[in-house]
Amino acid sequence: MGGDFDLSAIAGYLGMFLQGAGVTLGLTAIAATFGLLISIGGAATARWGMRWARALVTAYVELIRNTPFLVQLFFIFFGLPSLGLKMTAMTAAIIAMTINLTAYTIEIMRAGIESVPPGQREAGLALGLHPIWVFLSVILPQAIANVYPALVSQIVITMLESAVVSQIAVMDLTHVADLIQSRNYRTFEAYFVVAVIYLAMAICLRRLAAKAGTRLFAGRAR
Amino acid sequence: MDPQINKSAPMIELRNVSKWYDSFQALKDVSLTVNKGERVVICGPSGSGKSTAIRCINRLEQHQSGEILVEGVELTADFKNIELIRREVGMVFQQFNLFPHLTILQNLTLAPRRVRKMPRAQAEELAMRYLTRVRIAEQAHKYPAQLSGGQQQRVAIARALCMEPQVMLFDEPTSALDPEMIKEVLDVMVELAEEHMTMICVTHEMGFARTVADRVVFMDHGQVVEVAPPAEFFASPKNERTRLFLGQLLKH
Ligand SMILES: Nc1ncnc2c1ncn2[C@@H]1O[C@H](COP(=O)(O)OP(=O)(O)OP(=O)(O)O)[C@@H](O)[C@H]1O
Ligand SMILES: [Mg+2]
Repeated sequence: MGGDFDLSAIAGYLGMFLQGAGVTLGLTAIAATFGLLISIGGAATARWGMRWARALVTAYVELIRNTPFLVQLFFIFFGLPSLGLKMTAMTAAIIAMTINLTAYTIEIMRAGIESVPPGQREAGLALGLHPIWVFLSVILPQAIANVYPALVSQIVITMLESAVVSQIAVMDLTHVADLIQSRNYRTFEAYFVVAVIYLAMAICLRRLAAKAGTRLFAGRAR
Repeated sequence: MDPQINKSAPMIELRNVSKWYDSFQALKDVSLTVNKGERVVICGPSGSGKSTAIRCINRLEQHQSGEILVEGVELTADFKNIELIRREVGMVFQQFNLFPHLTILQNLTLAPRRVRKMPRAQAEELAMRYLTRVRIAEQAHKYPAQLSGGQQQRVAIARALCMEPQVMLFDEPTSALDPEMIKEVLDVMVELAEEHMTMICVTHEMGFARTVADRVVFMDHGQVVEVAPPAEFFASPKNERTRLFLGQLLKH
C-alpha cells in the first residue's frame, strides 16, 4: 500500500511524534541519572570493596552485558510478576534501562578510576583528607573527565536501544511509529520520520554533552 | 582512649621498623629519632628503602614490625590515629601530585576546608599567605598544568604547609625538575629550614644537605647504615658503603 513517499500523509501525527520523543528522552534522562550514580558506587566497590562485594559487582556486570536487552526487559515486566512483583510498563522500562546502562557505565567508570595516577590518592591522604573525600573530590572528578566521551556514548546507545521498550507498550518514539503505521499503513513514512528524530536527538545529545564537557573540564587539560 | 600529642616527645621516632613487600624486605630494623626543629637528610642508592621509610611515617605504607611514633603517639591501624598523625605530617612528592582538575588556590584550600573545617574565605586567605611565601601568589587562579615544574613543586610545598604541619617529609622533591628549576625549590626548602620546621628530606642534593641538615642518614638495602652531622658525614664517612656511594655521587 502506501504508494508514493508522502510525508504529508502523516503530518497530522506530529504531536504524537513529539510526545513519543519526549517519553524516550525522559526515560533516557532518568536511566542516565540513576545509572551514573549507581555506577560510581559500583565502580568504587569493584576497586576497593570487600571480596564478596567485588564478586557481586562482577557477576552483575557480566550477567547484564552478556544477555539481550529485550530479554532483560521481558524478564522484569513479564517474569517478575510471577514472583509477586507487579509494575507498570513505564516502571519496568525505567528499571530495565537503568540496570542495563549501569552494567556498562560501571566498567567505564572503573577504567576512569584506574586511569587516575596513584599519586593523586596518596597526595589526598597525606593531606589528612578522609578516604571518602579523597574519592569524591580528588579521584572521581578526574576519573569522570577521563572517560566522559565514553559515558556520553553509552547514554546515547541506551537512548537508541530504548526503542525496545515499545514492545511492552510504553508510548515511546518507536511505539508511536508502530501505532501510526498500523492506522494508515504509511510504514515507510512513519519509520522514516522516527529515524530522523532519533538521529537528531542523538546528534544533539552528543553536541550538548561535548559543549558541557568543555565547560566542565576547561583549563585542566593544558 | 584518644591518642594524645606529647609536645616534649621527639617529633618522629622509628624503633626497629621492618617492612616487607610480599616476601621482599624493604626496611630492616630501621631506627631513627628526629627531634623538634631538626632537619634530617636521607640519601642512599636507588631501591635502598628511603621512600618506603618516610612513607611509613604517614602510613602511605604500612610497616609490619617495630614502632613509629609521631610526637609520642604510636602509629597504629586505627583510622582516627592515622588521621591525627596525617594532620601533623606534611608530605611533598617527587612528581608534585597537584590535583590537575583544581586551580592552584583550590589545591591549597581543599584540605583546610574539608579536614580543618575552615570557612572558605579564611582558607583562601591562608592559602594566599603561603602562596606568597613560595613566591607564586600571582598564579593562584591557574591550573597546575599551566605552571612549570618548579612552580608546581613550590605550590605542592605551600599546599602541605596550609595544614600547618609539625613535620614536613620530602621525597626527592627536585629529582623530576629541569636543572634550572631546582634552585627555586631548594630556596623555599632552605627558608623553611631556617624557620625551624622539622624536616626529613630524601634528596641527593648534597649542597642542600651540607648547608641545611643537622644530620645526614645513609641507607642501603633497607638498613640505616650511617647517621652523622654533614661535616663529619662528607669528610670522614665511617662505613665502606657510604664512601662508595659518596664517591659515585661526586663523580656526576
Ligand atoms: N609497592 C611495592 N611493591 C613491591 N616492592 C616495592 C614497592 N615499593 C617499593 N618496592 C621495593 O622496595 C625497595 C625500596 O623501595 P623504595 O622506593 O623505598 O626505594 P628508594 O630508596 O626510595 O629508591 P629510589 O631512590 O629509586 O626512589 C625497592 O627494591 C623497591 O623495588
Ligand atoms: Mg624513592
